[in-house]
Amino acid sequence: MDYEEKIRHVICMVSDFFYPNVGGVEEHIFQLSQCLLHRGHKVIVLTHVYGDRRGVRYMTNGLKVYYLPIQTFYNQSVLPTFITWLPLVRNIFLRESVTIVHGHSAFSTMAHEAMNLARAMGLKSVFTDHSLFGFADMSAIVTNNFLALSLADVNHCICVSYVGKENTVLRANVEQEKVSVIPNALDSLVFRPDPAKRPRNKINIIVMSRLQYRKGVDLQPDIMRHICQRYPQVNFIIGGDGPKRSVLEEVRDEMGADRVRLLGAVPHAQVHSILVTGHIFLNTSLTEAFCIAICEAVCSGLQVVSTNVGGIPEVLPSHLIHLAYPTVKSLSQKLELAIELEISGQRVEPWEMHSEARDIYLWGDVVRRTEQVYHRVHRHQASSALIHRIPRYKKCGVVAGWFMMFLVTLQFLLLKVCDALWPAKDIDLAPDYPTSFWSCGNGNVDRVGRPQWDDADNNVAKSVVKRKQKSRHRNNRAAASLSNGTPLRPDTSTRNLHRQL
Amino acid sequence: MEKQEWKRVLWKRQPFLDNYVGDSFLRVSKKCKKVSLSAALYGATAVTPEICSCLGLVVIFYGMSDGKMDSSVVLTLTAAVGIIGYLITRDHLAASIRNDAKVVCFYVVLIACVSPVIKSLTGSVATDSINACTTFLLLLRLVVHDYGTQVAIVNPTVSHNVGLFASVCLASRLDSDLDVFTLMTVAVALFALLPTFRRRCRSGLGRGWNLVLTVLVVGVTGSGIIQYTPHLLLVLVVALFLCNCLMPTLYICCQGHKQNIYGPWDEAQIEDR
Repeated sequence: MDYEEKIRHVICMVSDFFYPNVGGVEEHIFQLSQCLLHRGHKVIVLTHVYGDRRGVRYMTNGLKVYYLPIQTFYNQSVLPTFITWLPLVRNIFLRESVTIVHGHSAFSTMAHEAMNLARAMGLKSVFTDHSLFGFADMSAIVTNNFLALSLADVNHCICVSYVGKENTVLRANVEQEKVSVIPNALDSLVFRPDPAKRPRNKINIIVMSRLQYRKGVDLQPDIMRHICQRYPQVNFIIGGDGPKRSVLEEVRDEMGADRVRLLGAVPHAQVHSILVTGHIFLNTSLTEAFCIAICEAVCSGLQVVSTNVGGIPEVLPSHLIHLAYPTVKSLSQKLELAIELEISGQRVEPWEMHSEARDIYLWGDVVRRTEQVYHRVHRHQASSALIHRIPRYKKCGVVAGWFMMFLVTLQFLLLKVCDALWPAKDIDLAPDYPTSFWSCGNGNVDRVGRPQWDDADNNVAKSVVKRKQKSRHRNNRAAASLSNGTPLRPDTSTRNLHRQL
Repeated sequence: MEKQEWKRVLWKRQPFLDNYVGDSFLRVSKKCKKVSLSAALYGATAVTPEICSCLGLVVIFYGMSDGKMDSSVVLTLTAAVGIIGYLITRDHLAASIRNDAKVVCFYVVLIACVSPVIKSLTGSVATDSINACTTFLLLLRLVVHDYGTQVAIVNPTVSHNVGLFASVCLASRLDSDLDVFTLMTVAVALFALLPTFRRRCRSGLGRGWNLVLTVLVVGVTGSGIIQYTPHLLLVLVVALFLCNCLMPTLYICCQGHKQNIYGPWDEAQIEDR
């Protein structure tokens, strides 16, 4: 492994969407945070209150989550006010000595506001976009404008596919060099084939998604009727819940509950056990930035039939996926092809599929590339003085740009007021979660358990050598354990720090 | 240095940086459906007969209220035109002749019974309020009417109801029961039956015939206005100018400013079978 100047970052993940909400973005934030903790960085998460879950909670490996007392406003996002929770978040950033603020999801207003505040305070900000947007309708126009305002002053962006990068660059007017493409990852240790669980004389087709319009649920009834009629040995198993459930219940009543089974909402931990009972996985999404479900299906040894929308053609090599147009006819054709391959036994074997697919999307890879982004952002000297921030909003247009300039100045003034009322030197630094595994630092810890860093110049050479030896040893251990992907799943219990010590 | 070509795939480990910009980056299509001037002008002629219907109703009201028009003559004419139109479109109608006759009888009896009630409906309301209310309602009817396009603003129910409500407002100003009955029948014929007939004409006949019919309708309305309500002539002229000349030209001029970016991120459209 090349020697890199290892810097320990303190990363603050901000998003409206986090546990106890379950979904793609939430899982991504959790897994990424766990991997970064494993690499020795410090990670905290900021999100809004969920029901009566408020305050500070600790999750697996000391991931500190702040459930801030802010109510949601629309679509599980908070009301964007720009100034009301400035003192609170400033306090958190100072307490935890945050260096990088990483916002997730374009729909999350908390993420945008926190990134903006971070820039005002001189910290670095990174944004990850998980979704695709059109340009044609009114809601898209409004959202794109807000995104452009938010990303005018961000250090770096991460998208999960090349289509996502094009989309972000066009929508938010961001320079192309400022956007990196880092795909999602999955836990390939969990998603393994189990051919014994599959019925021998029947063929199961699995559909696993939220039942909403953009997942193409309207295409499924006709496909199911056509296939069930032609192949009496084929059954459909559908997992997931949503507003379009009644459409599928109609088909189930028509075909019979043995041919079309509706499982309802399936927790992510049980998805694998459902997948291994199937031979073919069907994905009918109308738009998708990066579909991790098809990767999970391929790792579990299922043949995949999917629409070729959005980023899906970039995700898997052509011999592992059957791509179709988003029409009933095309999808039925590809499904028939997959069923014929299954019946004749000419399909790619499950374990072969797994061995090919398991090394493609690894969390170790994702976190290494994300770390590179953090290093680049850390080295980059984009000034956050007010005089340099204001011209960055000029490209946002006459009305919106000037409005943002005004808001940014107001923010600056408010920060000065906060500095006067609650000076930074009076704010206690929060103790870090104690752990004996550091892959960075010189291996010593101080009284409160924080690792010591050599900042004196004359000690750097000696400690660099010591660090090199120690970190190489540790990194070998880290590489060995991370090469399998992280075997981490969300820890659902809330643990008190005192009980752990 | 990097001889390998950059490919747009995520599953291969490529020796490029994550923020590398390849040659085939940014695939967009800025397709814009261009509408020609003649198509815009022809499309605008769908609105003209509706404007004439609304003004026609007002003309008949003024004619009857001034006493210049005989209500029984109007009634006979409406019935005759209605029967002719019915016979022309008989083949396309789904219901049987008996059912249609039953519906007509039902309407006639209903309106006849309700006429005295309508006559005394707005006794305490000022004329100006009635005029303003009617104008607004008829405008609303024009805005939400179904001209054959699939747009969000179209609401045939609202259009129909508002039209009839406007005619109730007007009819309540008349003196005799027969006048009220006549105006209500004319309103039903103009607002409920004529639009369907017109839609069938528009889709069935060619462009030339449709234009001839439109000119005919405008002519009839114009002559009615000149004869019975000369003060509404300016309204007719301005409305026709706006609808047929100004709006299509503005639409064509503004098309150049339309910017719609399409690309692989757009949600796929499910075609109807």
